[in-house]
Amino acid sequence: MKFALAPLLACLALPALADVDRVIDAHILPGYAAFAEEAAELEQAAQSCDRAAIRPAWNAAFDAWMKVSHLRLGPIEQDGRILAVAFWPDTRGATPSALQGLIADEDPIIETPEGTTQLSVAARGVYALEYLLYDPQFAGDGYTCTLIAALSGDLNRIAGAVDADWRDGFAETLRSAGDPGNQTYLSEREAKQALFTALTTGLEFDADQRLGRPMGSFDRPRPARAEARRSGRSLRNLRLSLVALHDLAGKLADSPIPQSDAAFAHALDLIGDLDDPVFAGVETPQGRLKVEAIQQAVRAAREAVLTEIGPSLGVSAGFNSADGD
Amino acid sequence: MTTRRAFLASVLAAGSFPALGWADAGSPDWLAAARDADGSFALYGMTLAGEERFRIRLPARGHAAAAHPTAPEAIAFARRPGRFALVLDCVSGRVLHRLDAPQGRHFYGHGCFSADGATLFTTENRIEDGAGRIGLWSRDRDYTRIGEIASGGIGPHDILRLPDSDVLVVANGGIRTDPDRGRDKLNLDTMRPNLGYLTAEGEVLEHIELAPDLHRNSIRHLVAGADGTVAFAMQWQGDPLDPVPLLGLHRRGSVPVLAAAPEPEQRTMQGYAGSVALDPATGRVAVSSPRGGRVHVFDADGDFLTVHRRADICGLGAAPGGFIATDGLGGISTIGAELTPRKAWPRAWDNHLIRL
Repeated sequence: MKFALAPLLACLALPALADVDRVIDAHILPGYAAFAEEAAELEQAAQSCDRAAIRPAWNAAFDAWMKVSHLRLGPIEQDGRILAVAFWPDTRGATPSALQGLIADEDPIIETPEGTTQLSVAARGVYALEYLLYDPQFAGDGYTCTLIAALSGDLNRIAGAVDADWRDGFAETLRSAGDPGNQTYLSEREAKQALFTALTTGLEFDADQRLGRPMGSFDRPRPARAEARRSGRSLRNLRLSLVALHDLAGKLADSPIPQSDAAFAHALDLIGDLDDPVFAGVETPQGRLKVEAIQQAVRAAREAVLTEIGPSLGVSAGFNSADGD
Repeated sequence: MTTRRAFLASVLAAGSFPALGWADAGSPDWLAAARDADGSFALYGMTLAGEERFRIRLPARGHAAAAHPTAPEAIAFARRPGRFALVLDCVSGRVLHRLDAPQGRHFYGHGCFSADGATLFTTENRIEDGAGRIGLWSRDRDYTRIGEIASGGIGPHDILRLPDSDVLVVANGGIRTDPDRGRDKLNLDTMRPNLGYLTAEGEVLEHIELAPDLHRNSIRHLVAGADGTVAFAMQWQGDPLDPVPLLGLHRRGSVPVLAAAPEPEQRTMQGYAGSVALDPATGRVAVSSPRGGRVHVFDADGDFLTVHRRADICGLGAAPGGFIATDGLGGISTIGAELTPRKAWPRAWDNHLIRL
């Protein structure tokens, strides 16, 4: 009897998993652990100079990054790590010119991990690696191979450090929001606000940057500005981002979110129907219309989470950041 | 024995206002507008320790306030394109007067007093042609409108008076808006913001424009040091990821110094500085970016010193040891070597805090 009762008591004693805990344990920590794992695989693969062998590992690491790229809080925000992982949009073409400079000079700074961290963030991370792995102008061997290996190792070290920092410290900072001595989050509401902000700004980034950049204006579409188009990942990244944001929304909400679910599903349906992996179609009126419909669907998803999830958590879009003057 | 309350009641009943000072309002150190948890709006008088001294309900979202130099009176401005401003008695909480923008004008949300406290200056839009105007209001005549002068540009936003003088400094943000079009920006391709130094009579003493490639950098918020240094915070109307400077330091007769953090930190401000403050003890200047959740601190020469992070941070003022800051989560933080959150109120602090 005693034996049988114990699990029941344990169940009764266990409080309902709070929204912030749920996000940490089922979204953030597994997401960063997977990113660290794939980045380690990439570093391994990059020991060869066989681009055909490195590309799948790079794509897997990028896929893993898309599951956490919206989490712009905590360890990834330290020391400019986020831009060292993901320097995009690159409004001034800094990435290719920085890489060209390094290769032309055969700059030995990349021979050590410490040296590589001294590089401009434009020359680091997943987008710099994309140029080196896919752009014909960087098809060379020799120094370029060394650079691919150095940047892969650099990415792996950042991914590992962010994963460790979450597990060993920041997860607790977020969990203990409002406790005396917590100087980062003064209340539980602030922790929820931080996660909710990650959700809404992630959706804004998808609509304004991932879709808005290649769309340009009607008179001047900019397909060459599509994210990661050299590797054909533009649409894939959008889809992975929305799937991750939907996952965050569901775990952050403390009640069912039918409107948000429907809005995410609609956007993902449109994405599934689009046969245009790099948004090249924005140059034609019909193609542009389809991409614009996706953008509207992403914005509708943002509206849905603002009206459906925000109030139940007692949070809203940033009072000042969303509406300044 | 006359209680303070009874004394005040008798004063109010008599309809006369002897020389009450800010001490009578509980000696607040700063003012800020906020949205309360129930969705209503108010102006608060607060101390540096984060204690509340008074709360005065506002009919709509506020923006900035102008504090009278000696009397416990504050002008609370509605957000642009606001048509009214309220003169608040910070002792009794009463609305003493209501300022209505004249026909064809609206307020931009900032104002300041003359050195003697007799005249209030307000930044305004002459809607028909978008010309920036500075409205003049006489405090001694119950805040009657007594005139207006040209601001020297389009979209004047913040205005201040140089310390120990009656020289006005105006941030002509350059952006044309029309209340019929809400907050739409109508002239981004041709905007030309400037920093203007004016007399109360409207004489232009100096007029500073930035280089043509920065013509989309809207000069919006101001603070002045005792030595006449004016720090101006800007809002970039181009790509938010362009790492343009968002802070300028200027002294009359010299070329402005533009200040930015090194890349890639600068781009995290997202092209938007919300407030600016100057620490008189060190000459250091802080600018906030609620979009980036950051405060950047620069030395008196405009060299970048450090970054502090806090979500939705915006309001800034000088405080012993550095700065005090407010955020949309209700937090009040002090900024010295570190940013330290001191207190969180269940309200969202609006864009600015006004030091008294």
